[in-house]
Parts: sequence; C-alpha cells; structure tokens
Amino acid sequence: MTGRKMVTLIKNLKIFNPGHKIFEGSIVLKEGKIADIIKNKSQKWDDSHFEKVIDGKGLHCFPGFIDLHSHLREPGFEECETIESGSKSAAAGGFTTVCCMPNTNPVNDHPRVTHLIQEKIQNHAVIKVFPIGAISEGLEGKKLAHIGLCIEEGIVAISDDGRCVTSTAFMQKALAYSRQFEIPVVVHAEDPELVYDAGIHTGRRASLLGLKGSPALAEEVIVSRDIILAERSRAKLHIAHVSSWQALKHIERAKDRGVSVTCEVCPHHLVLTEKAADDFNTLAKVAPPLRTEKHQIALRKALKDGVIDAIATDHAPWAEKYKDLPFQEAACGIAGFETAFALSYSLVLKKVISLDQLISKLTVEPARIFGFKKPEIKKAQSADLTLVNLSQKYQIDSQQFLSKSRNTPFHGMKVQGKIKYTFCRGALVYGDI
Amino acid sequence: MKHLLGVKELDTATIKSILKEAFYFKKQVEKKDPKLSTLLKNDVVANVFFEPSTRTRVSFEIAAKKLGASVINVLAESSSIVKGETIFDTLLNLEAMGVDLFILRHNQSGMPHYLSKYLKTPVINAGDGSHEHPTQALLDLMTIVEYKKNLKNLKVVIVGDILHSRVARSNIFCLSKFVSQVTLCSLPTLIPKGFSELDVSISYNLQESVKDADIIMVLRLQKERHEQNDIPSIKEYIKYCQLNEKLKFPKDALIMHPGPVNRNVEMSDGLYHSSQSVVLSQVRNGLPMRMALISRFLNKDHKKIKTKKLTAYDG
Repeated sequence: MTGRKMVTLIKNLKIFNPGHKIFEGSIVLKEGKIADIIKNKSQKWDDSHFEKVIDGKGLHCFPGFIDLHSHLREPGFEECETIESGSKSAAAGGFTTVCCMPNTNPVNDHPRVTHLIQEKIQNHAVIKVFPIGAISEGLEGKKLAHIGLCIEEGIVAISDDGRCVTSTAFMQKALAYSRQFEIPVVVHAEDPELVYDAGIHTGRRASLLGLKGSPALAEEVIVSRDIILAERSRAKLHIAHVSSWQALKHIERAKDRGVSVTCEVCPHHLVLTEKAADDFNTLAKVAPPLRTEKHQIALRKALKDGVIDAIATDHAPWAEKYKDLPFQEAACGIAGFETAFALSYSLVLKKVISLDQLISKLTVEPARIFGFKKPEIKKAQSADLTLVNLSQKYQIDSQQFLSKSRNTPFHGMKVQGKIKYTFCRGALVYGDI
Repeated sequence: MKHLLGVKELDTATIKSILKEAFYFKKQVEKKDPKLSTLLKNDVVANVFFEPSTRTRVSFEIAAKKLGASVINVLAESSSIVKGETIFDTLLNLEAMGVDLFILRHNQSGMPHYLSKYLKTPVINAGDGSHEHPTQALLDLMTIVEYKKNLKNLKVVIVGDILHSRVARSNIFCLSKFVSQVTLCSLPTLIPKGFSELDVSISYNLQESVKDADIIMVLRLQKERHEQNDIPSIKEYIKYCQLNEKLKFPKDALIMHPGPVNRNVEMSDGLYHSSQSVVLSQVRNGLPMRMALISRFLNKDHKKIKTKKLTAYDG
C-alpha cells in the first residue's frame, strides 16, 4: 500500500480527542502513524513538502470509530457482504476498527475458521477487523467452542450472537472458562422460548398485526440471569444491543455493585420505535426488536448517564432475497455502518448527549470494553482518523451504500453529519469527494 | 380501493357504503334479478387458499358465480421460505393467465399485504394468520344492522380465543367505529399483549361481561391450544369460557359465531340452536356482502348501484 509510505498533510482541522478540548490544527501522517500534530498559527507549512495535502477546512477530526458488533457474512453469505465490502462500508461510516460476529457458515468456532477469516482480513480488509469467536460449537449452546485455540488465532471476544445461550448451566461454564483468558463474553439476550415472532416488539402494535412478537421480558430474563452468573464467576460480561428499560435497570444495579458488565446500544434502537415495523415493514425487522417510546427514552437516558458504555451498529447486511419476504419469513437485521454516525449525531443535535459523549462511545469506550489500545489523536499513534463535516445535511440514500446490501429503514431520511474522510493506518480508506 | 386487505384501512364512510351495497345485492338475489348473472360474465375470480376452509371459500365462490364470473380454486399446503417463493410464482402465473381478482387466505399474518405489493390484480384478504378477516367483520356488521335498530348504544362482547383470532381483530377495528362498547372476554393467556391499551374493555369474567350485552360474539377455539399451554384443557376452557344456558344475559342479545362451531365447546348446542342465535344469518349475509365486494373491484357499473339509506348507524 503506497498510502503507508506517503507523507500526508491534513490541514485546518478541528481536532478532538474525547475528554479534551477541540483545537484547530494540522496532522502529518507518515508510515501509518501520526508523525506530527501542529496547532494552527504556530508554524507556517509549505504544502510542497508533502506528497498529499488534504484541506480539512470545516471538518472535525476524531479518532477512528470502533464498532464492537457487526456481521461481515464471510464465509458463507458472500451475496450479502464480504470482509472486503463490509470493511469498505465500515470505512464509509467512519469506522477504522470493527469486530465481526461468528455466525458465518462455517461458524467461527474453530481455529481453522478463525485462521481463514484472518487470511481474508489480511488480504481484503481496508480497515482493522477483529473476529469474535463462538461460545459454543455451531452456536448450538451445547458444547464449548475451541475458545483458547481461536484466541491464539486472534479472536478478541466470544459470542453466540444471533442466538441466545438457553441453558443456564452451559452459560455458567462458558463464563467460568472465559476467565482463563479474561476475554469478554458478548451476549445476545433474547430467551428464544419467549420469542414467538422474531424482530417485532410484543405489544399492542404487533398484536394488531396478528403477531406475538418478542417481548422485552425475553431480554430482561437473560440479562438478569447472565448478570447473576457473571457476578459469581467474575467473568467479563458484555450485553449486546440492549433494547429495553427493564434490562437497563438490571445492568445499572449490577454496575453499582461492581459486577464486570458493560453494554452497547444500536443507533436504530435510539432513533426508531416499533412504529417503523407497522404495515409489515421487513426493513424494520431486527432482533432485538424496535420497541416503544418508553424504551427509547430509557435508552437515551442510559446513554447520557453512562449506563450504556458504547454505541455499536450490529451491521447486519442481507441481500434482498432475505428481506423481500412475508414478515415472518424475512431475516432480522439492518445494514448499519453507513448510517450509524449521522443517526447517533442526531442525539447530539437534540442535546440528549454531548459531542464528547458521542465520540467517546464510538472510540474510547468500545476500546476499553474489548481491551484495545486507547484510541487517541497523538503523535506516534496509528493514524486511524475520521473526518466529519458536522454541519452538512443530506438525505440517506441506500443506493449509495458501499455495503453489498441495502437493507435499511432509514433510506430517504434527512440527517446531519457527514463522514468525509476515513484514514486507517495512515491510508485514505474512504473519501467523500 | 386497490385491494381489500383489512378493515383497519377502511374509513367509516366506506364501510357504510359497502354495507348499503351488500343490502342491495341481498335484495336483488331475493328478487332473483336476472341481470346479476351477467354482470361479471367475462371475469375470472381465483380463490387461492393456503389454509383449509369450506365456508369462506364456498361463500366467495357462490358470490362470484351469482355475478356471472368464472371461479377457479387453487388450494395448497401452507408455506415455508421456499414455498413462499412458490406462492408468489403461482400468483404471477395466474395473473398472467388473466385472473381478474384474487381471494387469498394464508396462515401467515401479513401474507396478502406482501403479495399484493407485486400484483396488479386486486386482492381480497379472506383471512391472514391471526391478523385480519375483513369480509367476516363486514358481514357480521351487516347482520347486526339487520337485527338492531341503533348501533350507537350497543354493547358487544367478544368471547374466546382472542389471541389467535383474526375475526376478533377485524371486528375490533370495525365495531369500535360504530358501537358504544366492545368487551373482550377470555382467559388471561388468550388476550393479546397490549390490547388493554386499545379502546376496548377486557374481562376475565364471562358472566359479568355478558349480563348486559346486546351482542355476544363467540369465537372458535382452536383445539390444539391446550397443547401450547394457553389453557390446561378443553374441559377447563369450557368451564370459564363456554357460552351456555347457565349464564344470565339479556333475552334480546344476539349470539354470533363466525363458524365452524365446536359443538358444546365454546357454545352449548342449546344456545347454538336457540332463537337468539343468528349464526345462520351471518352465513346467509356472507353471500351478498362478498357479492358487493367483488362487484366493487370488477363491476364497471358498480358506482351506478342505487342504495337505500340505512338509519341504524345514526340511531
């Protein structure tokens, strides 16, 4: 990659590290790292010293975003997404690091599968991609996957995401075993026995559609169970895509008494309610489902108060043939990389959270949860940067997605905050030019 | 109206004119109007049923034939993901062969809504999963109008397996536009989640809810319900939900049932055959109601139908 050797200057930026003040300056990228940061007016620079100069006037520069939760579909579902297309889509969303779930075909439950995924990442990913391994073989919740050997191959967490571990005894063992490696155990909390129709919230609206849906109770039961188990085993528990106020209560209380539990929220749960699935709209079919306003208000408050640690996309791309189906047959999921920032930024515009909170929940916080190096715009750090025009308004157009899939309920929505450039290891991996 | 998928989408004015048209057809059928059988001479109506049904299917078939249309019946096993595509192909093929109207029944909620998006041909929903059964609700309303002079003050009680009943949902949508009170009476496991937020009353006490009822609408219990632990046994269901002579309710209350009745399960045989039961009137009204709806979609002169005023809505 030529980008790594080039010396690039990005000037006139508003540089922002979470927890610090915004300052105006320029950044020099060299050999994949941040070679220098120059505060404006301190020095005059001659552009001709650089192979590439980007004028960042009007742009904010943040540490590259980190997504703890995505589905890149490779191997097995390449018609929906590949590691290459998924990583490009992520880059277009401002992400420089993403973690991909193991529910591929074959499932990432074996070091050979992890190895294969790592090879694909090496050869095709434009950003940093870290695989998450399975908790159980085949995601069946019966037999532990080869967790240690998969860690040797580079998995960063374990999860049976998409499926919920039903057996309490099995979950207890998985959490206990995870302590050998101090690896986070990521939970898709939705008791399958309580889920009658996946992807739609149990309540008045679903009932009127003749669907029984998936109740908040299905989430609450598993969240509370796994908190109890994690408390006893002192394992690291991470609750994926929390969606109900009841689950938040359990998480808040657990945090208060020192249980090692963290959680994430998805932009779609923050922005949409169950109304989006009325008229059997399969694009709004997602697990856990979009719920009522009461849940949404609680999620927003928990994000502000810090009960929710991070924002994650749960990017779940599906080719049209999996979504253009009668409601009960359609797949659950939303392709989320390319809409995540603008949707989340709408909460800053609404003054629900601050810009500092938003950026830290997209960078520092997810890094902390998975034990990654703290992302920072600092000399000698890996040059993972996201440049955003916070005042640009535009309409979401799924036809422009770099993802292979277009399954989003946000097509046509007017939003503000546009990702303009994404740099990963100093290379320009996305540019909205 | 492009399709008839549910009562939910119908406004009060539309329901009123559908009802008037149904009464018009009822009269013409009674008069043996010879013109009826020429109205849809060149039209083909396809009954596409992915779920067993006798009454509804035959009712649509006779209605279409009375209007002179040809009827084909496509009966199939219900779907899975793979077969879902087949249903779609089947309908596209039928459309290509010149079917003018689809009557569609499927065991999945929302199936006609999905399929109709891709069809140019109009679709009448003849029942989708637990969602809607609009023609049943409309013929029920027609029957109520025949017997009750004033809809506004009526108290309607719907008894039974509300959770799985599309008839209940369509009737809730329909009746709440016209009557003063709709009560849903059942066991707690058979009431859909969130229905307490609707403009209906919910009761777990049958005697309480029927004591001053004007209309008692009894639903069919699907027998496998106890296997899914919605109820412990049919016997217990009978104890708490059966409409029978032991209960006290007004002598002029109408007893309705969408059929087919599980004899002596949701309703005692005695009441089924009693003078208060209007079950066969419902079946009878199904015919002109479906004629009116088919005519709406296919009869070019439909708008010229002269209907009489109905006073029952306004009292």
